Amino acid sequence: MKKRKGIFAAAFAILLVIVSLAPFVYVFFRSFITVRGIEFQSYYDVFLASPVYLFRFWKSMGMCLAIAAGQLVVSVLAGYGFAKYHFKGRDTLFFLLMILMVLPVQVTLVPDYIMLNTLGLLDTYAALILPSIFIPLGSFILTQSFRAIPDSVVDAAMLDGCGVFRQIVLVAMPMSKSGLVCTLLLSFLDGWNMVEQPIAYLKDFEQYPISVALAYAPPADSTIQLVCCVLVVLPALFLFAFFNRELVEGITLAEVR
Amino acid sequence: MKKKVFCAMLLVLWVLVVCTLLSIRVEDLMMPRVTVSTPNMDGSLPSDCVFSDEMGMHLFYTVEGTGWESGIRVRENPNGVSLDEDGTTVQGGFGSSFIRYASKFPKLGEKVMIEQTNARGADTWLVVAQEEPPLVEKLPFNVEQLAKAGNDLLFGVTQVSQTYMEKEAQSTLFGLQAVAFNSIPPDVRVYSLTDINTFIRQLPLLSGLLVLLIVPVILWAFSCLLARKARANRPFLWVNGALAAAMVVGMAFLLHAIQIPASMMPLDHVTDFSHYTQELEEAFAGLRALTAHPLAAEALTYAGTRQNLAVGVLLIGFLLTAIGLTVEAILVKKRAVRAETLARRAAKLRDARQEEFQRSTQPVKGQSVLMERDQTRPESPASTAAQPAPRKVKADDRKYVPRHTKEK
Repeated sequence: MKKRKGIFAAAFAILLVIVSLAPFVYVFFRSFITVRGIEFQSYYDVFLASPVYLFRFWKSMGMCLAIAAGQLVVSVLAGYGFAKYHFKGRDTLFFLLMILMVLPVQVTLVPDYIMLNTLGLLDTYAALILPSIFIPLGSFILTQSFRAIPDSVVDAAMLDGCGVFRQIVLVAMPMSKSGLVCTLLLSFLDGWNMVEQPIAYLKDFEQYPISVALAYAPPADSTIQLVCCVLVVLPALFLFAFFNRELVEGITLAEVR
Repeated sequence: MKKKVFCAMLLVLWVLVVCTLLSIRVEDLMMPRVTVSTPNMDGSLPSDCVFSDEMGMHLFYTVEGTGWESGIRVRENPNGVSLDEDGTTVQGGFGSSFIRYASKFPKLGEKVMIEQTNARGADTWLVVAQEEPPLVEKLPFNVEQLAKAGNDLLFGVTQVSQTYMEKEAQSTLFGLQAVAFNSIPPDVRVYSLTDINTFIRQLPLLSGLLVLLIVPVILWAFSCLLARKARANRPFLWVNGALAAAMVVGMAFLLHAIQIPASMMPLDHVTDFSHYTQELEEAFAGLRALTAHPLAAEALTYAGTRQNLAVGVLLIGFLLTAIGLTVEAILVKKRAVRAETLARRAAKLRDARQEEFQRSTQPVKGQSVLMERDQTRPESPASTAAQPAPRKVKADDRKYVPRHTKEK
């Protein structure tokens, strides 16, 4: 009975892996297998013939790095505040933060648009970077991560003469590496997969990140689109392969506490 | 696992950076240079606006593209081609800029660069043909025949556009109608000697580019081997990384310096090496036939010198890499041996100290022992639990001894 259950579980897991991987495998193989056979013309077009695709890739990369760095700074400060300071309304604020976290992007799209318009930031990269920096997921993860640090450690640091920033930088951050990496990674991937915001806040096609610009490729160039998909997958793939342990630890930490 | 992923990530990053740098230059070099004509009041155009291939005759015009296809793009005239009886004019349309001459056959949707025809200068044209080329009866005033050997000819021309376009040369030498009706035999080719010389001048730079493309990959592979003992080999890894980064910067400058004439570029791929070989072989066959003329002889001598220089650059580049890697490998080995010796010496010292300590703590015969633990009583479980677990020895730790443990 136990053996049969094991076989069933293994078969289900294999099926799940196949279903999850199938689109990527299809994209990868179709990017060089065409009706004329195996050819790398589209790879040549994307990687060598013109810099437009790679320029857009680097632009998106720069934007995502700015988002990830900004969100890390904001989340570290907010997370430390929520975790180690006791003030009136802290729990209410944290609850509100969690509500914000579960709201879909589409709900905040219009208010953000109005705010960005008032600030005169529409049609600039700031319109994409600024709202993404304040996404509450990072603050939530780091709050949970900082809560795991015993208060006695922070107190000891304070007795040794550490101010708030030194406590954060020298004590709290090195002790919450997985939380930091998790926040960095998730915010990067959030920016990398951004679709609705660029369409709403940017008019000029030249400014679109690669995630959006892909959809505008001419239909005749479907293979080019597939090669661009492979290009888009690369950063996410490598980041996950490199930081998978930290990512899993960070998410588990946020769930457990 | 992390090291392997990091190695792969570095290679992919390097490929992406290099491809970005290369694609900027490749797009610029591969972009056809064109001259355009606007139709007359009656919508007519000179007949050399017609481009002929095995699919028939085409009339191309330029439009400003949008989105992924931004820039000046090629479109084909939807009304087809209607040549007049004597083949000197063709009916175009109104309001569009039609392509007249192009450095290579235009392709639909391709990005092109419109050349300003104002810049004019002198050139030398080399005609290479298997049979008698169909020259016009009276050459224009700006064309002068310099030499002839069999069917190969050398022309000195003045007041021609600075960007050489074969169709313009054919139109000048063989007439408008010959170009429009595609009556020029395919084996009759016209080359610009200036462009050939410019291409030849780039050969050492191209060799340098090849070196800068291959050497970082070799360095990467070597660094991946060194990364197995990353802690011990850290200085070498940093040196290799810095070298690779410097090579990328050098490549950016080198690419900027490379100026291959548009007329020498292949139709589809910049990596179509057979095209370059074929073009140069044909042109040099013509030049060899015309060696009596100083210009042809000079071009051949220059080509030989530059070719040798290119091979030299290639050899020096790979030789330096081989020497560098050998030196690095020797240093790595020396460092490993030194670390091993130090580790052995440290272990010997540790053993000696331990022995000395044991000897000093052993009771001397006749000396009264104040307190001795009762060996018959078992140790309490708490005291054994408090013992820290032995540290897991990493592969790197076995051979690497930090500097501060060095014996003085």
